[in-house]
Amino acid sequence: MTSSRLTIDNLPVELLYKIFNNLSTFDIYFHVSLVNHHLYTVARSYSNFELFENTPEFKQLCARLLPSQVSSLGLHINRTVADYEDCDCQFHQDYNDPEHGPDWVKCCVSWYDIPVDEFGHNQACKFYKFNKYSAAYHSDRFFTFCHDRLDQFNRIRSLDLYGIPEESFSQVIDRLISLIPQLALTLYRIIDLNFPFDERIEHYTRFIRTLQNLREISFCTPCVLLKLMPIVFTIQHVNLIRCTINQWRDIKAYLPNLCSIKIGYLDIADNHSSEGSIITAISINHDQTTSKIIGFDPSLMKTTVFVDLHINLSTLSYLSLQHQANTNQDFDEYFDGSWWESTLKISAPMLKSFEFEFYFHNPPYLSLKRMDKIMKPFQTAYWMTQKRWYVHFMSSDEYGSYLFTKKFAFDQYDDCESSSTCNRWSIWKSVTRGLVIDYSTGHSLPNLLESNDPTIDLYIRGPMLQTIESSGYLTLEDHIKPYVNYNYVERLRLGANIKREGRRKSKHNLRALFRQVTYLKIDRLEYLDSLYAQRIKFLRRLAKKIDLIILVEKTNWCFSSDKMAIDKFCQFFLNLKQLDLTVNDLQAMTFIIDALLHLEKAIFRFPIYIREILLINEDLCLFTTRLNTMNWSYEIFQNTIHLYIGPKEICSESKLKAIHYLIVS
Amino acid sequence: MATTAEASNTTTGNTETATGKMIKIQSNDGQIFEVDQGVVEQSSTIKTLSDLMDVGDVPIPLPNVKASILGPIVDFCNHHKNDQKPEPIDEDDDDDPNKDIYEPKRSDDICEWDLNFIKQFTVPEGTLFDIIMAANYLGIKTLLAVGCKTIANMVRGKSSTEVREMFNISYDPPGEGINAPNAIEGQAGTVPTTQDANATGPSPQPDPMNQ
Repeated sequence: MTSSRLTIDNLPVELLYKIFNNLSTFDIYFHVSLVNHHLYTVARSYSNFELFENTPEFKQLCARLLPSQVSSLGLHINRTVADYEDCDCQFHQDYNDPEHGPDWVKCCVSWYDIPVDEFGHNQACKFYKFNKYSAAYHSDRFFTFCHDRLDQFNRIRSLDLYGIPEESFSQVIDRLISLIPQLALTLYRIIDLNFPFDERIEHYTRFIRTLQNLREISFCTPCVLLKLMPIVFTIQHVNLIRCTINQWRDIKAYLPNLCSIKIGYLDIADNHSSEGSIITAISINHDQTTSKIIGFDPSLMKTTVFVDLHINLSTLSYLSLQHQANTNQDFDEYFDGSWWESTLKISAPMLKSFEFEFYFHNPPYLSLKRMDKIMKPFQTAYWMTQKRWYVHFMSSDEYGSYLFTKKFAFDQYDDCESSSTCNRWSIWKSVTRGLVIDYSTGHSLPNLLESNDPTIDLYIRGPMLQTIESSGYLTLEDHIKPYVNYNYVERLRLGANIKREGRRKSKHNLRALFRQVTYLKIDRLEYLDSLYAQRIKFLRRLAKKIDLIILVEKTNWCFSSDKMAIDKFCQFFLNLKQLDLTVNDLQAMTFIIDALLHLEKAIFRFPIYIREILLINEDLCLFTTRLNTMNWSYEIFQNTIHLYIGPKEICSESKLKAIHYLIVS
Repeated sequence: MATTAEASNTTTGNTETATGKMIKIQSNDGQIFEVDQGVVEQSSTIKTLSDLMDVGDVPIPLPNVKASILGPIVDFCNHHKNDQKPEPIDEDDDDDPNKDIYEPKRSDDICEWDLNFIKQFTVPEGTLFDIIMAANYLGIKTLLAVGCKTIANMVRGKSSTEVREMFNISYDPPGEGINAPNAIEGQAGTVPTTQDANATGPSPQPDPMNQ
């Protein structure tokens, strides 16, 4: 095989087919097949072509492709690109709007093509009046071009009816049933992201009843599915833009073969009103479920999602909740944590990551005793030893009360006076697997807050004043190593300057310290600089394993003045997946995004004065970054941007920007 | 003479026991690579061979892959050995020759590491095709997908002339040379069998992008 040089021309046919599987029909038929006679012959025998009616070359392809070569068929409104040239926009979605009459078509256009209007907002949608006849579906186009060969379309597995408007739908379904009866056996997938009105549902019901092997549907709502529930038991994959919680329950109950379900919006109220609805993305795929839920009342969560749908959440691996209490919410009920542990143990035993932020704006007066009472349910072995979800509570008259999770056990250690003897830490000590090596007093012997073995969370706290060795620096060999077994340290909080040691010692100690570390928190920029000052090449190798960096100090990196520092940071932590830091402008953020290619989740904190800028710049300049060709979403909380870079979901396929994307667990 | 390459990316000696049995594989030019179970699991060919033969310390011969290709493949598998396992395929789909059609046609989902990995293989040297062939032979689906998507990305939007130039393919007019009807019939296993009588008949139409 390797004796002579291979070219694309002498690849085996099955491999050429695999390459073709990643190319459009146009590329295969009009370019690759014309390269030479061999590739032409292979293309002629390829049977996985997509035929979409809205492409300019549709007519030519109809004439040239053999019907048996077509595996995907997309029927669309007969509208060409030229029809949209006047719009000066990129077409995303259209539908007739009852308020504007049947001749009007609403175009949802891409964000980057729309100029900012006089109010500083991007205009998302515009209405354009189309000629009634040109906008109507030419239902005889596909059927006319192929009328004498319709019975030969015996390999169509996927059918896209998204482009068929209501007035033509019945006609299309009639023709599909009568003229291509073989669809009954071959059709595997139907895609239609139009909102289904009653008449459309009726026609789908009629059509799907004829199909025997349907396994995947991608619909806007589950209405068709629910209507056909008893007879569509073959369905294994369901993709929905919107669904109520009761509908979801029914789908689960009636589809025994369901392997995956993806939902863009899940409404907790059993209707599509905005009140009580949540913005979420849920995906259940075989044995793994991921979910992100925003704006969801935790008390409703308790009664609805976990109690009613515990079967659905039995494989949940990632859950994120963010919520602000209503004005009439009861404070004690809102922060009642006793329910969580028992429910999560039963309903979501596979849950690995649980992050939440609950916020109560006007809390009552809270004594220390009452605050401890709120925290107590979250300080059991389940939370702190088994799952390592560290819950914190903050409350003030000015800022309200927050209950939230943190990645590091000792995040609030510094806030507690005489930490090592503080009552809170005595509870903490009994359940965590962590160690604080605290030199803050300046003595040469540290205060140790040691809990159960093995040490997973390590907090190295340096001297506040320069008293140790008159420099304020700690050495790993003398100040850290004697007190800790590094073997299991996964989360390291660095609150000290680390002194560079001799070559051999330095390498040995750094390797030992960073052996298992995947989460790193650095309290101040100077501590980061002390890391840079170590054996940098060697340390950079170790830093590649680090998934999460949190820089606590307000770095306020500004692109124009701190480009070198940002660049150095990005080069050092090249493989970073999660990041939390403060930057001073959008340009610094976009630079970091472009530099850190493995980033999956990032929190960028901005100075409060640019909050208005964040709200107005809806694309946040992210389209100018490498994300332009990727799938991502963001949320803005006050002056903080939470960015998620994740896989393509049904919501992105339908180009509906409002839907939040799924986060990969 | 066989030489041994330490392909495992383990950092401590203890890891060997943690990752299970180590297996030796041998390229067609005699180089031996030691791989762990995480790598073996990704290659259906190596897995089948190691299951069938109780190989012990004897290296599994891979006569279709040379060391310069097998080395990077082992690196690729080492990098991906902790990846999430793909969804199990439905049993009734196993024999479905058209199961690829269920996959969406997209090739923009190659991760950054894989992109950088595949960059070391080139068309002029033929190594890009070598790695695809080797991935196919070894049954490493993820690598095969990366290779095929890379070729597809190179081809997309290019005219037939550009494709010819890119892959250094000479244009053979139909009915001449290698494309003579007899010659085509003689290429068993290269030209697909098709029931369509026109398949080898009409010549390709002019490529609009070449005009």
